[in-house]
Amino acid sequence: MTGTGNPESHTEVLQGTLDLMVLKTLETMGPQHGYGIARRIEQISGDLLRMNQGTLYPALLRLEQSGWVSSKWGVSDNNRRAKYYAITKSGLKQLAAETKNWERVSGIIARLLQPAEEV
Amino acid sequence: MRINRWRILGTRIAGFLRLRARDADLNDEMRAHLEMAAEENRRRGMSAEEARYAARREFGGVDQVKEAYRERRGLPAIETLLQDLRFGLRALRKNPGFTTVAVLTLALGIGANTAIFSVVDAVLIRALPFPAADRMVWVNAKFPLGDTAMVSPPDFADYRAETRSFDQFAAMGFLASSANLTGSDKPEQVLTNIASWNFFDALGMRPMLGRSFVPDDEHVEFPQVGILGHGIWVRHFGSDPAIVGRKISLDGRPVTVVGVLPADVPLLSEAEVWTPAPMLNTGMRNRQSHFLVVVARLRSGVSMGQAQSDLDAIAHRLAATYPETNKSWSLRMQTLREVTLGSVRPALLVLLCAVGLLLLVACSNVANLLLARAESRRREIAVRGALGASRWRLVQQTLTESMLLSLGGGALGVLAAVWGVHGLRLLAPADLPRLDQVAVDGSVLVFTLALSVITGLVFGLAPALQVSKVSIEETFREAGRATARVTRRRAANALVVGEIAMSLCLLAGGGLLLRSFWKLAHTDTGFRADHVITAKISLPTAVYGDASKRVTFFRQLEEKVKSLPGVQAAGAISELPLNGEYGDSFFTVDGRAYPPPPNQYDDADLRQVTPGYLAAMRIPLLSGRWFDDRDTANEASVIAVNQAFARRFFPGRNPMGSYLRVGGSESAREIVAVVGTIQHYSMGEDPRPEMYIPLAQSKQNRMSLVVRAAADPRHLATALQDVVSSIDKDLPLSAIRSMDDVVSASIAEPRFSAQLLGLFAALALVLAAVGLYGLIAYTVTQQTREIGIRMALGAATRDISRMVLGRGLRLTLLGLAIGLGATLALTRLLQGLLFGVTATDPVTLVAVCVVLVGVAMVACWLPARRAMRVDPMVALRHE
Repeated sequence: MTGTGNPESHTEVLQGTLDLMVLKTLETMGPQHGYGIARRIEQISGDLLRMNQGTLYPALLRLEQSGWVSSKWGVSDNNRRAKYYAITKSGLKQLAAETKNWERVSGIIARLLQPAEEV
Repeated sequence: MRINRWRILGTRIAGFLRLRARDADLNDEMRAHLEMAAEENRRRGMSAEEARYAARREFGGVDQVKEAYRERRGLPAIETLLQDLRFGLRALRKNPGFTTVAVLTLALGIGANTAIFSVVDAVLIRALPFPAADRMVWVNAKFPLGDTAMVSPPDFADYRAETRSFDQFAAMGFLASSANLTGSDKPEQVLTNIASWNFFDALGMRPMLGRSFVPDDEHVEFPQVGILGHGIWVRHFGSDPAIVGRKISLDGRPVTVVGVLPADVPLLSEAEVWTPAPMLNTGMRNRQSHFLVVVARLRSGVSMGQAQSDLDAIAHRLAATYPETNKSWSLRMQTLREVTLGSVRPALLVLLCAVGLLLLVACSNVANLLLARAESRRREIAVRGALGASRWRLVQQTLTESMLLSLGGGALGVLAAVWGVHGLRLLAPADLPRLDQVAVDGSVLVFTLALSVITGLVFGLAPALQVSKVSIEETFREAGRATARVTRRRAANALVVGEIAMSLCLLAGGGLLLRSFWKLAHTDTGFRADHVITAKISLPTAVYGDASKRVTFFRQLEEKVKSLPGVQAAGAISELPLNGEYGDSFFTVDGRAYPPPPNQYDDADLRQVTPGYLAAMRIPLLSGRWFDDRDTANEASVIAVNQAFARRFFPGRNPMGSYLRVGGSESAREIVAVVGTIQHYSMGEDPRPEMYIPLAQSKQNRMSLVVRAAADPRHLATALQDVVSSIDKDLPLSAIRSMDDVVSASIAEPRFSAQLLGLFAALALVLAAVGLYGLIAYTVTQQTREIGIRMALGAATRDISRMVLGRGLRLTLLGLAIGLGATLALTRLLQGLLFGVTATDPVTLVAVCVVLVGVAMVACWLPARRAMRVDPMVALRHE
């Protein structure tokens, strides 16, 4: 999903993680077009995360097929036709569930990675 | 989650239906994205061009996104399948030579498999054509001497009355016998058989006209009623609908027709006229005459084991009541399937394996063709990979092409099989069960379809894996070619080695069967079959009841036939050799107690002959004097024995002048001659002890006429019938055949297996040779430059040809080594089919290895010759 020809320069974005980031972005920012979502994710990560923006579209399609986001064509700030994605009710539920799951997993991993004497 | 999955499927189907719209959508969306990104970049101060370029870079591969997007959207499986099919067809059309060779090779393999499977399906797989056939059993007698035997009529009646394990317990005579059907304008010899009244019920069959037998039909001394087979009803009685109730005459005895059987019913006997077993006849009341075959239907809920203990209990009671005849006799059951199909199963399974191997060889060849093609398509594949096709998609595409090829081969194979089945029916032995039902039908087509798909996967796998390993970067850098070529060559070598190994297995199997058949066909039969014609004749007992009339008839017949122009000798015998005819008798050597105590009598085959028989068959007289016209009923009783008899019963002694008591006879017969031993039941059998007695001193009325001619004996057929009619105009001759045909029919089954396996082996050899040729020719082409350099550096053409031939020889020898190992393991399956050769017969194995190496060397020599003609200057300019 995220493979490019340039392995050393970016953090791999796991498929589930990208979904989570997209849902979170849509929750905080409201309806957004694909470019907006991509920019937002890059800005938040402070350029630590460099993704091929194109990989976003298959992910958006997957989320839409699952019913977590909906899409419709609209007009952007500078009068450009663009497709806007919005998080749905079940998307919000999914986000809540995934967030909890993420916190649990990252908590476990954080503890695993703590220096040995603190255990 | 379940709802979610359905929802995804729904949107996918919708997506599939709105393909083009969604494609346009995605394009718009991506364009908007890129423009927005470029705009922002410009605001940051980049030039217009830089901004666009940076936007694209950040976006990544547009085509890869499209591909990934498409795979998620719609129903990618169907979409890509349609796309692959279109692409595959185009690719195959673009390369008609390759396509033709591949499809034809596959058609050969699949067609051969389909044809053999249609035989196996009809003969072995399809259910027996009886209702609830799985509950039908065949019941044999088992007695202390170990062999199986038939059941005697009184025993049968007792078992039938007492057993509780069967819905039907029925019987028929174990051999159909011929009888003269008279009473209409044309006399005809027909096969008749007796049946217990419930026989047709046991088979689950009702007459289409009239009725079946009823219990009272059995309570007679001679059958009063009869049931006609469909064939004779049509042939002899012109499909007369009013036949029921009419009287016909069988061997001069009146019989009322009570029923006609439907067409196409299997009866387990070739009889055309059925009469009820006349249980009151003296011949039916001897517990020592075992000649009934019992067919029974297990009651539902009763297991074979339960039925067996039921039968054992009855056997026990019978043994107690009739110790002299029934001590240690019991009944054993076999399923009907085992009995009717058991004997042909090994040969058919061997053929099925063989034809499977043939298909594998064909698959290897096509796989090799595909590999070579994949090699030349590396760049195309690499380009498609670079444009975003995932590896799985590339593999899918390759497999689709393989599938197209194999389905094309399958379709053509079905046509080949229809034609092949026709040939098989002609080749197959006439006694192959259910031969008439062999056809390419629904179930065979399903088999072919499945086989084609599997075939496509098998030969498509290697090239597909090859494709999946294509490295995009390496292909574009020319350096990668060398390593790729090595792996391809390794795969191709493995395939060719496998082909050679499998061909060796087939050749060895075919060689063994052919050699075994050749030995069988050249077995010394003990008589001379050439220039001999035979025919059956049966004297009706009503007219020829008096023995002297029969003797006179046959004496007249022999004299008149001998005086026909071109006839050298003529005689007659009760049981013609190699024609499945059976007759034996117990006897004692005079001086011992008679009758012998039960289970201690000797037994040997017994034939009744006329004096001319020995000369007509050219069986050698070893000592003594042969019968002549003076050996009549009024003269001293005489007997002749064969050499096997003399060795077995008179070891180290001269049997001449000893006396034998045969069967129930009171008078002893003097042994006056010892004659040569012949093959009677089957070619290749161990010599069987035989006794001959003069027809004039016996009661036989059914004989086979044996006539030796100077030229082609078949021209005598009409003359023989004329002679018979001149003596008795009502007497028909039947089964007029040359003795050569009789002998040949007796080995039809081994001939069938040997011919087919030989054919498959030859085809496999050709395919393997083509495969080897293709591989070597290909490497020579690839190495033209190398060869050119070597020659420029002074290599002689001899060295070049050695190099090319050496590679072919190495592959061949490797295949040979593997093949020999496999052959030694596989030919053991043939053991039961072989005569006179062992499954590891060194002569055959060496011979097929030599043949294989020879053919392989020719296949390599052709490209080697081309390599020798390489002009160094041209070769060096080649690349």
